[in-house]
Amino acid sequence: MKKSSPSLVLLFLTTGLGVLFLTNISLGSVSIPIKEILRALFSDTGTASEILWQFRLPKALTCILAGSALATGGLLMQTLFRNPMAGPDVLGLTSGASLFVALLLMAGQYSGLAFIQGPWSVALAASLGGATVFILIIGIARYVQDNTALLIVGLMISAATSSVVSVLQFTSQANDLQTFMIWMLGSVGSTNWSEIIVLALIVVAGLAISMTMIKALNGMLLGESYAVSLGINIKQGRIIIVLITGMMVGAVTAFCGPIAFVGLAVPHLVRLILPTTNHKTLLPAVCLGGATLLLLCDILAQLPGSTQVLPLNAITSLIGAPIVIWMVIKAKRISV
Amino acid sequence: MSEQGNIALHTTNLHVGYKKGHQTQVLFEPLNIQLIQGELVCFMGSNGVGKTTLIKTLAGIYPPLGGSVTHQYPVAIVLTDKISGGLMTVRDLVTYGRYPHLNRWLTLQDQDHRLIDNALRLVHLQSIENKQLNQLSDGQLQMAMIAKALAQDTNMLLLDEPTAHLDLNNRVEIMNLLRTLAREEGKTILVATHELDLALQTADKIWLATQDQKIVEGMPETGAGWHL
Repeated sequence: MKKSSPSLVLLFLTTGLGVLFLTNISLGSVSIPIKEILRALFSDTGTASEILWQFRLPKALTCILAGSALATGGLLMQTLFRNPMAGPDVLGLTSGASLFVALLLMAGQYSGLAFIQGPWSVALAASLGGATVFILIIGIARYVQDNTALLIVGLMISAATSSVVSVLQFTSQANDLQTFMIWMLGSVGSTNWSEIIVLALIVVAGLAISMTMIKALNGMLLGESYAVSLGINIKQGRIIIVLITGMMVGAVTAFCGPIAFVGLAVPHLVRLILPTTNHKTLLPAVCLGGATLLLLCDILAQLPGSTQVLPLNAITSLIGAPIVIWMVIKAKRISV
Repeated sequence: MSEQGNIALHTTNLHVGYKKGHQTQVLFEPLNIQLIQGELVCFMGSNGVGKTTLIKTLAGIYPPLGGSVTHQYPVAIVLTDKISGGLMTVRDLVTYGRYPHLNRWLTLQDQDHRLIDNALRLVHLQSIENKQLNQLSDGQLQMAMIAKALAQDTNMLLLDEPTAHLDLNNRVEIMNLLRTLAREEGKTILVATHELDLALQTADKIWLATQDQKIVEGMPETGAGWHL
């Protein structure tokens, strides 16, 4: 197998991220020349800078934060469960978040919660939902040692929550249903600056803490007994990793809705160009890869040259699914 | 061979077993056993008798149910546990042996590189140090696991059935390697195995786990057998 140098791949990903960031903020329903974009970045007068600071920069920054958080969350879960199929959407985290948001938005009139609706309460409901499912999964993981069995439990939780959600959809009013459906489609364009600051604090803290956990993460690949024999405090590591994963994925789902595929696929795409299991290299690469991919998906979702915008989730899955299938066929196997 | 060498490990009324719910399953009678420095001890006994549990207890992975284990030195282990990370290179795996001595950023010093190189040399895997684990044969993978334990640079090695599922060549090679390590590097080695023939030929002592929950210590047939 050919070797790619880690620093070269990281440089390539950083450059790609920069290029896509500029491309992303220069595209939109109003065409602004790149020169004007660069000028508007450093000024706060004129229509161009208003469009940039009000709409495009928040969206592009949200893409970067959400992409890196979801991809890193996926990597952490794959390592934690030692399972290549693990990811926020597979293990039912996002469906837990969806259930709580659905309860808030659509059952509000029954539960008397209708008065607290608003973007922040949706965020809170999504975080609580994701955390609840994650704690449930971790609790079950203490009894079920087999990772495949755990994955099936995750899928069953997803199925159960989805059916509750569909009952709620069936019985709810058109207005509430629409609010919920739009949230479900995933969006990086509805965050304001104060939400971005909250998201950024959570994501940056999560990424920073995960970088201090590389020893425990690498140790997890060998399993608990070996890790203990190498002096790694695996119980503590597991708790910290569960917390930061839940926090990051919960925050992104809260503000952007359940964004599919990124968490599961990016770690595998990165391992395809950078075949390593060392989290010292994997973590920064996966983080950059996730941000790059979500920026790219958002560019495509804007349908360059038109005023139409497609739902983000349609794009992530539409691009993602074929890539993963191709990758599995090419590599014939897939590993953590 | 002196019988009165330094004691590298000993147990005092050690209760080995596990807890299942509220019940405690004790596998052996209270154990008072010892390992002498530089000895290769083969640990034999039928499946399910508790060899793995005893090894993990001696290594400090499982807590004793009672009594104590005292080691003179840190311990490195080779288990039968499956590991993940098919894309990991042999060198990366051996590097794990240095983890107890590395900071949280895993910065390798010259000394660490030297010990990793040395471990790879001892198991003859230098030429494939950049191969990925999923490209290795079972024998090579087992050798890499042993190299990881050697890179820990401990005076004591505990191995749980390192020769299981291997062909005869690999089984002989591993047992010879362990004997060399005990003789030339002065390492204290306890190896659980089902290979009676090889054990008789290579071991300094044999531990036999019996059905009545005892561990009987014996000497392999003297004289014959040291030459393969």
